Amino acid sequence: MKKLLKNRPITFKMILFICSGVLLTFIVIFSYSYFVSKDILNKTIDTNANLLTAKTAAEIDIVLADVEKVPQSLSLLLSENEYNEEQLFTLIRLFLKNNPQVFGIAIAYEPYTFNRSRYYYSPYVYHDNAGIQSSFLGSDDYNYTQMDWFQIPRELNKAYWTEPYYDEGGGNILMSTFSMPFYKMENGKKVFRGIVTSDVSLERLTQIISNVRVYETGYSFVVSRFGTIVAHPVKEKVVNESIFSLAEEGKSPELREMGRMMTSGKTGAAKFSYHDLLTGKLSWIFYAPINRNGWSVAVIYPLDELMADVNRLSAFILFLAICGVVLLVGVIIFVSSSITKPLRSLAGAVKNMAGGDFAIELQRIDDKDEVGELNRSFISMQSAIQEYIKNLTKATAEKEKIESELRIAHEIQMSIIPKYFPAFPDRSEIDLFASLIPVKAVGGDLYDFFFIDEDHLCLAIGDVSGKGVPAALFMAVTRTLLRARFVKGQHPQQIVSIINDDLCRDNSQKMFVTFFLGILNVKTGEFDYCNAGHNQPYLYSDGELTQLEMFHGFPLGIKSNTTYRSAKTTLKKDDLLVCYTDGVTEAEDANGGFFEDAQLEKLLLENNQLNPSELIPMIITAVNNFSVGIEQSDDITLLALRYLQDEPGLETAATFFRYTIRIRQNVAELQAIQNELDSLFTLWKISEEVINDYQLAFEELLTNIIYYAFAADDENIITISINFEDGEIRTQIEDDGLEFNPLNTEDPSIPKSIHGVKPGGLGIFICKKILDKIEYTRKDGKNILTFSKFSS
Amino acid sequence: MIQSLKTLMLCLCYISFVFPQQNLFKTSLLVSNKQLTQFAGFIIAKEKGLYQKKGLDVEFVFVDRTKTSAALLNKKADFAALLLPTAIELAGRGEKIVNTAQLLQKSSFLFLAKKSTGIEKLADLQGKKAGVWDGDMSIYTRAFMKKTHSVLIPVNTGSSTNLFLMDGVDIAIARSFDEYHTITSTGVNSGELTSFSFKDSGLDFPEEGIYCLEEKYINNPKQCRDFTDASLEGWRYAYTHPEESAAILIKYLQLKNFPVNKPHLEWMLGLLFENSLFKENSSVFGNLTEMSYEYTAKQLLALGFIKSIPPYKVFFRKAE
Amino acid sequence: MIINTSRQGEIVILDLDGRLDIHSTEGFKNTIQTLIDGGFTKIILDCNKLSFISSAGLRILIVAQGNLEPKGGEVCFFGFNSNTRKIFDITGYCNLFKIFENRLAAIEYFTK
Repeated sequence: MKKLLKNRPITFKMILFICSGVLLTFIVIFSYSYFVSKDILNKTIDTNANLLTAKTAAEIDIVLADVEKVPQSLSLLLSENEYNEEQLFTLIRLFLKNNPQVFGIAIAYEPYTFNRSRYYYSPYVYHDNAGIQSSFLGSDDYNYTQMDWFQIPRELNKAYWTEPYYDEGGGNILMSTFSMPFYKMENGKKVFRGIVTSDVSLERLTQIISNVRVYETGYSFVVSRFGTIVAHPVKEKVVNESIFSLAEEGKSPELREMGRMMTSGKTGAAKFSYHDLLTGKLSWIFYAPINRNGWSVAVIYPLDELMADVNRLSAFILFLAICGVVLLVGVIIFVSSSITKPLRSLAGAVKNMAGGDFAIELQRIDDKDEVGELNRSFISMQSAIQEYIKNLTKATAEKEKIESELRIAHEIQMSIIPKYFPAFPDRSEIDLFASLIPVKAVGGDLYDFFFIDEDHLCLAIGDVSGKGVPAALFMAVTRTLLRARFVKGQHPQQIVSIINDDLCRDNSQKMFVTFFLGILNVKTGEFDYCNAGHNQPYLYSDGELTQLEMFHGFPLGIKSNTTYRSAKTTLKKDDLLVCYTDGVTEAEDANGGFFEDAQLEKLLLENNQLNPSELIPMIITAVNNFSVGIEQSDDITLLALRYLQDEPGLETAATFFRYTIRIRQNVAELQAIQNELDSLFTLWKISEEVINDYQLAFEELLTNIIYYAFAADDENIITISINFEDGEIRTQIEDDGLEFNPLNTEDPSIPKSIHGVKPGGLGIFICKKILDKIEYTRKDGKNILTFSKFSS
Repeated sequence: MIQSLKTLMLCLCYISFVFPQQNLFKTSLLVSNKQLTQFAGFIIAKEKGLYQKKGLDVEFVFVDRTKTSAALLNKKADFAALLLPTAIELAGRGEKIVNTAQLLQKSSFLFLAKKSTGIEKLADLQGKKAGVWDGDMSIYTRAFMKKTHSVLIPVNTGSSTNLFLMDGVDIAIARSFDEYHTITSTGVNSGELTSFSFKDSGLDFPEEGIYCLEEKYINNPKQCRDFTDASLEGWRYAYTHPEESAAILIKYLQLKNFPVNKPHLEWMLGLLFENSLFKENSSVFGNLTEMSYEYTAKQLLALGFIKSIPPYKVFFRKAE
Repeated sequence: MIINTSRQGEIVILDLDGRLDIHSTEGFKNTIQTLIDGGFTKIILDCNKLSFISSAGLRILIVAQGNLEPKGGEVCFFGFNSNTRKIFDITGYCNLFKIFENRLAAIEYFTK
């Protein structure tokens, strides 16, 4: 079923479904009405046919009854009276005259009963052309005693109608004889005397049945008690055939059975599939008995004529139905085409649209129904698409214009900042790294660095106001001015001032740039700088994080001829300088919070030991993680420099040395310190003996502290500070352990033998002996042990 | 003179050529006025011109079947179709008749009873009214009654079976190829009938044969032979061309106002064929074997209908 | 500290190179024990390269001596420098051990 419906047009589906439904309904209605009307018809036919058959039988009966009257009267007379021959003839002539329906009358006497010498005695009168004739029946050739008309009523003692026969005498007339026995009383007993007969022509019967009108071709026939055809439209069949011979010839056992029903005097109808021998049509046979003599009349009803009306009606209904269905199909096609036609054209147009042809003309439909609505929707959709495409094309073009501008701007920006690191691989005095993470629209950050001369490195970082190509251009101009205007020997504020004046000159857009410029003497570490409104760079030195001094003037490009100052600091070895723009500190997170200075400071503090090339990416990563989900709104720029140059001359060598160690109760960690001390003392040019003494004391004291002040599982902090000044090595050991004063230990006595050695106290004793000074105090939960050893 | 003589000769020759029947030998056959159908072969022979071919002009003389032998003896006709027992009884009485051909070899006689009358076995027949035929046919009733020791009350009926059908008699004599079918053609189903066949009662006599007076045979042997042969020819044709023969017979009988219908005719021809023991390629058709003759004659002798058995060779004149 | 071992008959000479401080006492102790287990009880310590000795070192020497004496052995020294000699003097442990001028003297002591 699905296969049948798949891919079929709507019209087809509609036709199929509607027609199926209608057909089904029709079939049901039609079948019902057909069968019901057939049923009604059957009943009507039955009634009518039975009536007709009965009527016919009755008519025949009347004729027969008429004939019976003669012998009945005669037999009565003959029973009562004795007649002589002349009287007999007169009697029967009279009867014959008065009964025109009778053909002949005979009185046949039982042999030897009328005349003792005569075997045969049967007066007989009959009609012929000439009139009434008389004769005698009975001869050697005609022994009437063995004839049915005599023998049967005699043997059965009752009246008898003979089988039909053709009269031999006059002109082939079909006859039947009604005979009645008559008796005489002899000695009180009824004795058979003879038979009275009256012959009747069966023409009258033939006439009756031929008058029977059954539709067009229907007819009637009469059979005798033995089934012999008595009257039939086909003369040849009469007498010659019987209903049974007809059945035998037609090989119809049903017909034979019907014959038996007829001959046994039944009333009924045979409705088997009987093709009538006469008409050849399928017929029904209704029959009724003629009770008088056991004959039976049948009426043939040709089925087609029977059913003619019903069939005609049915045929007409069928015809109407077919017309109806055809009309229905036509209507469906018309209706569905009014739907599908615009749909099809719409589908075609839409298909073209899908292929890219948006300008295709959609046919307008004025109808307000669903199809019209659909059509209107499509038309408005079409114009909307066209409009959209137009706008999209325009917007795309614009966007591309902007994009290209931005690309240009980006390229400008990227092209003017130094990008290759390490920037000065051959300069071991400095470790320099910078990174600029631009924002799409170009934020206008810049940085630059270059060696002015052998010893002087120029660092610059700035942030142009605004975005896009103007900012990029301004940035380029600034950088160009920096490079171009730089004169050796000039101080930062001078250079800044010159750049500012130039920028102010042709600044119609009123743009400005925050700027920081610094000059580092890589040999000495002296750093001169000028900050024109930019974020103060951070300096990490000796564990402290500070920011370089504040503003020294307005951002560049605002006002010409303004004053700029500068400041100076000296970088020590491992000092870290970090410059940045507000893209770092003003990075926003998803909650609207800012990265802020504090976070940057924290990062710098924690990661101060990193190389700039590691530090800066780390900071950038931190900023990105912070502002994850939020689009970068400004350039992120970082520039970091670590000063690596040693300070010249030992006189400026560091004399301060601090160790902070975390140790568990484990002396092994002291070893590293002890080794360092060796180097340190060597550096400080301290004598070997002093070093040895110091190391000894150092070890003894620390061992004692570790063992006595610290608990087993704890991690404790010992801070050892060593200061060498004026020949005195001053050491302070601070620990956060339990209160423990090693000086409280009792000095051991000098042992006499090894067995007299007492444990403990030996180390402290040694310390006391070899150190010049030793003191203990407990402060803020900490043990503080201070001792000195002079180096001289 | 010679010219006129020649002309006369020519005329005579022409006449004899055109009107051959002028030289036909006239002969006649007794036929039953009521059982004309049973003479099918003879009618075919006549209608097909088989007699004419043999130079015979055969006339059918109508007679009551029970009075056939009387008519033959009274020379009402040259030939007659007699039943073998009847003929033997006559011959046994000294009548000079000869059999030139035997048409039916087997018995067709039977007594019929309606089962509804309660007659089912032979014993039930005792004292019953039986519709029988007299004259030439009476020997059958007599033979049956004697042979089966049945005491029946005979009622002579003519050719009609209606008395039996009307229950005027309890049983009726009938021949299988005729009356039996006539009875079933009135609507009585064969299952409603009890039949007592003569065959089953040991009386399986051959039946019709062609007979003529001995003197006729001696005087006109050729014509007798020709008549017999043509008749046999006719019967042969009837058996070998049943459709055509039926059509010819129906037409003939209708012309004679004889009631006839095709089913009855077909039935009759069929059973006649059966009883004739006719075999198409056999030349034995029409022969009365000595054995059959002896069988019948002996029975009749035993039943007391003949005092002695007439000699076979005298009785049956075989074709040479 | 690195300990270089040499034998002279039944006398073992241990050449101490480095510091005998709290970090190296364990190793020293094991060496002595091994020698004792091996049946060597006459041990001479060559302290020429010994740069440093702390109280922990002193203690381990006491222990070693204590282990050797029951076996009929002892440990003796030679080659102290001024730094290392000082500690023995300060603590008075110089009285507890036999300290010789040189290797020969030490060996001589044990062969007697």
